[in-house]
Amino acid sequence: MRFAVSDGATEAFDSRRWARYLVTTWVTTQRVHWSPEVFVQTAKLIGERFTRRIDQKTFPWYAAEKAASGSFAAFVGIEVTPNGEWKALAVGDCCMFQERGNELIVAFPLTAPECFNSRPALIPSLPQAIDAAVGELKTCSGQLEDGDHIWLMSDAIACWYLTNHSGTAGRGSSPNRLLSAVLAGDAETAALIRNERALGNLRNDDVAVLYIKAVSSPQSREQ
Amino acid sequence: MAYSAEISRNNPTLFVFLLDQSGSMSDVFGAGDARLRKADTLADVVNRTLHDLVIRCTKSEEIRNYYDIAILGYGGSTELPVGSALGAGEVIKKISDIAEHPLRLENRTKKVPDGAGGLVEQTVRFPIWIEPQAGDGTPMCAALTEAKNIVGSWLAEHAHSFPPVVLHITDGESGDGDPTATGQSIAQLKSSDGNVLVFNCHLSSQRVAAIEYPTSPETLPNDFAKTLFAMSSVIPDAFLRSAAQSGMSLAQGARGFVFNADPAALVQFFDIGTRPANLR
Repeated sequence: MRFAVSDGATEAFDSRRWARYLVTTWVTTQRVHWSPEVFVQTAKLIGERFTRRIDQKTFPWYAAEKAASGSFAAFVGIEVTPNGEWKALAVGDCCMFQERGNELIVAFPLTAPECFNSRPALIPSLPQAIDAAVGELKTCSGQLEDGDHIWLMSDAIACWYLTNHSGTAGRGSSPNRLLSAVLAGDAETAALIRNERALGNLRNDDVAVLYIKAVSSPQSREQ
Repeated sequence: MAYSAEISRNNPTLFVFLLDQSGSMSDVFGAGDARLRKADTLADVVNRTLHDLVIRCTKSEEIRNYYDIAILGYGGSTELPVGSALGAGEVIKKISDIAEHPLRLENRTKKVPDGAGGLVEQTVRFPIWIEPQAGDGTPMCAALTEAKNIVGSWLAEHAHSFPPVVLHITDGESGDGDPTATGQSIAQLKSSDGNVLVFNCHLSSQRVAAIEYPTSPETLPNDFAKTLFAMSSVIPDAFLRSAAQSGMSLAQGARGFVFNADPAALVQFFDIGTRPANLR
C-alpha cells in the first residue's frame, strides 16, 4: 500500500495540479520498491505530461511567464508492505511521523520546528530541472507494529505538530487533540485547525493531514 | 510585533514609488560600466519591479490582489508638477489592474536551462508601464505632500495592514523648499502593524562610490545627503532577515537610504524596499 501528501508551492503555476499529479502517480502506479532513481525518472515523465498540457494553452503575459517557470511541490510518500516494513521518500517540508504509544519514534525528513523555513526544497515540474533536485531527495525506512500511528502532513501543521510533541517524553496535548479530531471527522479537524490558527499557534497556510493506524490482520501475520 | 501583519487579498499592503522626473534625470550615471541615462534606467528598474510584483501575485492564470501600487512622477510641467505615472484614473491601483494594463508589451529574450547543462534563449513578452521622462524642476516637497495624502487616505481604509512602503528616487536637491518635515511626517503615519516606511535613493552623476544603508549621518558628504538620511526610516528587522536570506547583509539600525547610487545600487534599493513581497 502506498500513501502520499504533496503541497504545491503557493506562488508557483498551477501547483495544486502538479501536487495532485505527484500523489496520484505515487499511489496508483503498479511499480513497487520506489528508489530515488525510479522516482526521478517517473517525475520526469509526469513533468513532461504536465508541461505539454500547459504548452497547449494561450495565456496573458503574466500567466505565460509563470507557466514557463513550471510548477513546484513538496512531497512525502510512504510504501508499506504486508509484513509492516515501510519505506518513505520525501522532498521538502511535507513530513511523516511514526508514533508508538505516546512516543514519536520517527520524524522524517524534518525533525524539529526550527527545520522549517520559507525556502523548502521542492520537486519542479520542468523535466530539465528535475535532475538538479535529486540531491534534495531523502529516504527513510522502518517497521510498523500493531497499533502504531503514521501521520503524513503538509508543512504548517507538521511544524505545529513537532512544536507540541516532546519526543520520548510523550505526545503533547495538541497532537492528542489532533488525533481526537481526526478520529471524530473532518468537521472536528477543521474546527481544531481554525482555532489553532486564530490563537496564532498554527501558521495560516494550506493544511493536509493523512492519518494511518497500523492494525495487523490474521492474514498478514501468516505472511 | 511590528511588521508582521499577514499580507493577503483581504489585507493588502501599499507600495508608493515616488520618481524624480526633473531635467537632470536625462544626465548619465557617473559610476558603473555603461553610460546609461538615469531616467532610462529608473524607468527600466520600475518596470522590472512592477513585473516581479505581478508575477508574485500570479496563481495559475489569476492575479491575487496582495498589493496596491501608486506611482507618482514629479518634475515636468509647472502646471502639473506631480502626477500619476500610470496614466489616468485612480492614483492607487490594484496589482491586477497594473497587470492587465501595461502601455505595451515588448518581446525580450531571456536565457533558460536547456536540460543538458547549457542555456537557451527564450522570447518572453515584457510589459512596459513607465516611459523615461526628464524635464524642468524638482518639486520634491509637493511630491512628498501628495504621497502623504495618498498614504493617509489608504491607511484610513487599511488600519491593520502591513504598513505602506514609500520608495523615493531623486537625483537632486528639492526645488521647492526643505522636504525634511514632510518626509518625516509620512514616516509618522502608521497602521496597527507599524509606521509607514520611507526609503530614499539618490542617483549620482558623479563618478564616486555609493553610500549604502548608513546607520548614522556622520560620514555623509553634504547637507543634502543628511536631509535625505533624516527622512529615511530605520530598516525593520523583518526586512533585514529577509534580505539576509538573499545574501544581503545589512547592519542593525541601517536606514533605508542610498546616496550616489549607480544602476546596480538602484536595482538593489528596489529589491530591499519591496521585501514585504517576500514576507507574504
